[in-house]
Amino acid sequence: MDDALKELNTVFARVFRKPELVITYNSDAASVEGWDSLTHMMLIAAIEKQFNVLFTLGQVMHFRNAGDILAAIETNRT
Amino acid sequence: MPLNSLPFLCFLPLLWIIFRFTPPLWRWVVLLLFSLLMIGYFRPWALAVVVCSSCFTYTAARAIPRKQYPKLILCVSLVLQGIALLLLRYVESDNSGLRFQLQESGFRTDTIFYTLGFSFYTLQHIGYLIDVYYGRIQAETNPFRFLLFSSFFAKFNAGPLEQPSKLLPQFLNPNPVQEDLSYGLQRIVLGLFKKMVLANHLAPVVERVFGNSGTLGSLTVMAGVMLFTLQLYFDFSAYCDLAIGIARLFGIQLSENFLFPLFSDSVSVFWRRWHITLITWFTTYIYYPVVYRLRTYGQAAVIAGITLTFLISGIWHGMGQTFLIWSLLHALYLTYESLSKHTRLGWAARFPSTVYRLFSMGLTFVLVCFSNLFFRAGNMTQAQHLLEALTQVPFAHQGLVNGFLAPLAGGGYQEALFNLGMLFVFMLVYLGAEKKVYARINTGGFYALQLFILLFLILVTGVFQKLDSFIYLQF
Repeated sequence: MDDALKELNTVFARVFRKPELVITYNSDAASVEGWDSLTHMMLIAAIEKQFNVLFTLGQVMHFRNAGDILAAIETNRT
Repeated sequence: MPLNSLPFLCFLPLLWIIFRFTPPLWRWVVLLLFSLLMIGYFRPWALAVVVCSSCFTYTAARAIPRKQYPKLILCVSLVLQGIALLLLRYVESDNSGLRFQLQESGFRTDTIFYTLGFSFYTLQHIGYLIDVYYGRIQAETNPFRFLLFSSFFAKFNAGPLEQPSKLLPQFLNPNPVQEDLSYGLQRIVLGLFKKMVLANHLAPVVERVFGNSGTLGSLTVMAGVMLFTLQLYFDFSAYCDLAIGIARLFGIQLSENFLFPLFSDSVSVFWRRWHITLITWFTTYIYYPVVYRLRTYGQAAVIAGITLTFLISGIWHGMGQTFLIWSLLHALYLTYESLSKHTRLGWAARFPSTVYRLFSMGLTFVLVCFSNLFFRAGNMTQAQHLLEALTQVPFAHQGLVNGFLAPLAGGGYQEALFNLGMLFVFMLVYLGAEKKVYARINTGGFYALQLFILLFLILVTGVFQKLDSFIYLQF
């Protein structure tokens, strides 16, 4: 697991209150219990704070899995 | 013309033959001409409105990427669409002139400018303009094809709400294969079964409860409110089966609107399975933008987003206190579920999963039914009578048959009670087999026995009167 994914994992574990949670690039709303439209923006806000980035609404609405989020973090940092 | 009306169903094979013998590249023209004919023949006013609205939206969408002030064009377009929606839905006339109808709920079709389908295609136009503005899709270049997107006869009356990016490419070269015909036919028959055998039989039972709310006992009212939820589901999902099935005969795939919502184990799951295309629209264009802007406020942002989304959804369904209460109840349910998410996961871990799931499903159904009391009540006075009846002691003066079943069955005669019993049997058997029925159709195979049983039940027990009155055509 690379560093960015590890860091993202800690945010997921904190937001969904599951310390044992392990995510992969393919983890999505279907595979992560509790990840739905009610929690999606809270997850996004936590990720923005952790990685010190700002996502656009368009990006946020097209995140389908953890890999999409990591790609957007990379794009917004550069 | 409704999708299950006899003239339409008789004309459908002829349309299909004309469509089939037209070169694929021109088939969309056949669909457009038939859609306009279907709207205009019975409601010329509705045809004029859909043509004007489509021209306006098409022109605005083309102007957004080209002009100097795209945001201004978008805002003006959205405001005008919103004003048109309010005028066409809620202005009524009487001897004293025009007035804005705010008092009663939306179960009515007597507004002066009432035009079928308008509230559905207006939402699609609004979504289309926003998507073009944010560069998510390109503006359609062909105005007639865009008019077909708005007026396509299979979805015109009451959806499903479609996204242009999904539907417009399908009009380029519609070419139904044998699998499409088999699938379409089976969905149509299933829709007719749900409408004619289940929903149409439930309609008078529900009407007896909501029409005599002041004189009934608590259990009867409770049953009536629950049966209304079933009627609404069978009625609207039947309409969607017909829309999806008919579109598929022409090689067009429409979006699913229902995914077994009565088996949801939370209200948030229910809203992911009930009227999916409408809730997706509200989530995309209202909920997410609101929560995105407020996201640093955490749970408060979610609660604000849920409340605003359901308030607008309530207004869309109808002006009036009953729809306001219906929308606030759902906002309350979802707020509770959002705040108690982790606690509920803890509870789920403590009980056997089947027991917890069944309890959650039952509770969700009761909560949805309670909100539907307001959805169906004609006004607040009727809603109050129903609520008062719910607090009465069951069978205080009469027994089970006279106090509970007879008011539902329309009398205590054996024949009426037998018919009610058979309706319950049909509903329970269908609900038990529903997932299997859909799974079979979705495999792409042709299940002749299933089709025969459904057709047999339609012919023997179906209600053919008031065949074309779907509940959601009122919105």
